[in-house]
Amino acid sequence: MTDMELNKLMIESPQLARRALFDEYCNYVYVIAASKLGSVGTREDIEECVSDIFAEIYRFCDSSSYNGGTLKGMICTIAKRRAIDCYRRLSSGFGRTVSIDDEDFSEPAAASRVDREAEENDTRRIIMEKIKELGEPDSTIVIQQYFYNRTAREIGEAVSMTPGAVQKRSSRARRALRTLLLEAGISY
Amino acid sequence: MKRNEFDIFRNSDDSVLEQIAKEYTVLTDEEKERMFAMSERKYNITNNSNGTKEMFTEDSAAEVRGVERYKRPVWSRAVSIAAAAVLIAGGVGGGAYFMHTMKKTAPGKDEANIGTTVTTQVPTETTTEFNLFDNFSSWSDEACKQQGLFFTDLYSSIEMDVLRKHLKYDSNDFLTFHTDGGQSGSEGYDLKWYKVTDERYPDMGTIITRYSQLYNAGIPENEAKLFDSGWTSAEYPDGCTIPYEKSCKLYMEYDGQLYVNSLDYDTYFNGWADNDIRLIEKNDDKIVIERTGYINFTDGETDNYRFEYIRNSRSGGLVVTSITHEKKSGEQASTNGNTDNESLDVAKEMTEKFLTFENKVELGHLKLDENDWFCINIEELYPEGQKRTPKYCRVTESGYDSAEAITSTLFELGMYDYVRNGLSIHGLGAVDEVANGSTVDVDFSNAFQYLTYDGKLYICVESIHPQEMVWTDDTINIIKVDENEIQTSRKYGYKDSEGIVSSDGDFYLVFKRDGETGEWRHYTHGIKNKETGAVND
Repeated sequence: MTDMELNKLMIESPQLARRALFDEYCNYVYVIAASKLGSVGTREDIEECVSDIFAEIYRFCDSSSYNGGTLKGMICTIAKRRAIDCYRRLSSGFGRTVSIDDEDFSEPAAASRVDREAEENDTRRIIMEKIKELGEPDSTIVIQQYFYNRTAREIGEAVSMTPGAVQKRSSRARRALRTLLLEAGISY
Repeated sequence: MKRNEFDIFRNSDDSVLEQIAKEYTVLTDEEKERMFAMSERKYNITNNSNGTKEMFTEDSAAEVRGVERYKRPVWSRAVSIAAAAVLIAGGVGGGAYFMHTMKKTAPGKDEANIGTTVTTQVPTETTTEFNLFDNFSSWSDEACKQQGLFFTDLYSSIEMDVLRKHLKYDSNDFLTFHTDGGQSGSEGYDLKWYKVTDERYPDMGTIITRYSQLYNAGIPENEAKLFDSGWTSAEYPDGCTIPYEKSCKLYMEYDGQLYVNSLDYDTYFNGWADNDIRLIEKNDDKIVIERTGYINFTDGETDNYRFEYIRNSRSGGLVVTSITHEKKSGEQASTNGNTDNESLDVAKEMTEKFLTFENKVELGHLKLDENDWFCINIEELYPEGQKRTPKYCRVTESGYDSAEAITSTLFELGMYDYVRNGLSIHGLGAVDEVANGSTVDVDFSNAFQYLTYDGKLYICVESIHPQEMVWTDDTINIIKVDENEIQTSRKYGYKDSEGIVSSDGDFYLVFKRDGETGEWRHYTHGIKNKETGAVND
């Protein structure tokens, strides 16, 4: 469904529009939340965060601030802001204080940091390319295991394999990925 | 690449995240529905009574029910054997779960009722006058009852609107499917599915939302089977034959439109008798309220329904933790003082069987051949890389010496719930190949308490409990009895090698009668901590 169609639906039937908007963007929002909270939160925390994000998106769409513009940018902004809030709350729950030096502290980026982030973004893109080069189902297994923190059993259900087979393939895939990354000049 | 090194993705730029979202989707339908329901609730909760919106703040987030494991309490759905018989007479073999819960609507009579007007009101969140962060003990009685009214009305809307189908649907707009007879091998039968026209239930998501407002973790498992989405006319054109499992759905979404099955679904609950909410208990941690409801298959007979709700430890909001019901005062179900002998005999037999199961299977007190063994190499996931080599010895005790034998024994002991899909027990893995006395690599996810190899059963020696569990008292306390259910508790302890028995508290057990065979089966159990009084699985 396009943004225009969603915007039209918001006027005709807000309830159906919320559902459609959720269906359209839930994967994207979930990935943003998982990318921020994966290291500090449980899956339930990520789900809580995603629901917070959508509730805020719905309210924003109701508000006078929303002018029916591009949804993706607005959703991405709300998702990141709310995910960082959750990250801070969860981190403090773990007894961790978020320092202003922390990567998730949203200060304006200094020039040197911009350079570093650009470099890291290149690295991430290369890693994604190499994961994709692993082929299926290995790339899915690696992403589900290490990005989404899914168990071997859950991955097994998704790719129609036994948990044991998932573990074996994951182990081989990691070795292959390490080789591919070394060839690309990335050492892990 | 280790898990923490993958944290580089934590700050990925949009293009990488977008790629992951697009190419590596991970969410199941269940997860999506759960999150959608939560977001709807969080969105709706900021609408106050006059419909104006408020900004969502961290404080208001405290009202939201979060994701918590919720185990539906022990309460019985009425099972109509006669209803099942109607189906069987119609040429369909019995045997499946759904046969007991659905009955074919008699043609003519019930067709006229289709599309009846709505009889229940969907509850709206009440404007609370209390601070959710306060201890419950500081709430006024009226505030507790107000919250109780919301939860009980919500319960009624699910039971009456959704399960009893007291919603609007168009009897002239339907799809017809032929269903096969499932495993019974019978010819099957035709089923109609009516288009739901009720504005309150525009889609499946709305029903799911309603459930999630009451049951924190979404639809209870036995009712989740009643809903199905994603049917398309391309896959199931009108008039085609559908699998038997599909015919058991009460609601389905077809090309995005909600339809309801022409079969009826019987529920025990049959509406609230009045609006009287009685406050039974209020302390810092929980509130218990009671409301009188009509029960099915009777002429105006009522039960007292108790709802217990507590604070969500994470969000600070409220969650319903138990819904139970019993006969109204003066018609109490049997207790220890006047329990009939048959129930006591059943409770005694079932608790003894459970003790056998606990000692043999759970605690691992089995005869072993210590000369037939192997070790497994496993790598722990947390902390990653840590290795262990637990030893497994062969079980030689008759009735437990193979996967098939232990499965059969579990059925004999009434432990049906411990047998997965009727095929093998929980906590059972397998080893591909291993020589006696050697060590084999096994991945973490397959390192169960029991492993099979070459048809033989092996137990992890580390898992064997050093002490034997015993009942410390012959007295069996019957908490509740009805035709199909016995709730009981019995004092238990552990006997050490010198024969000294500890006193650990009460073991709670619930047994249910199988509707088909009439035999009693273990349903669930828990222990009550003697110090804290908490009941745990």
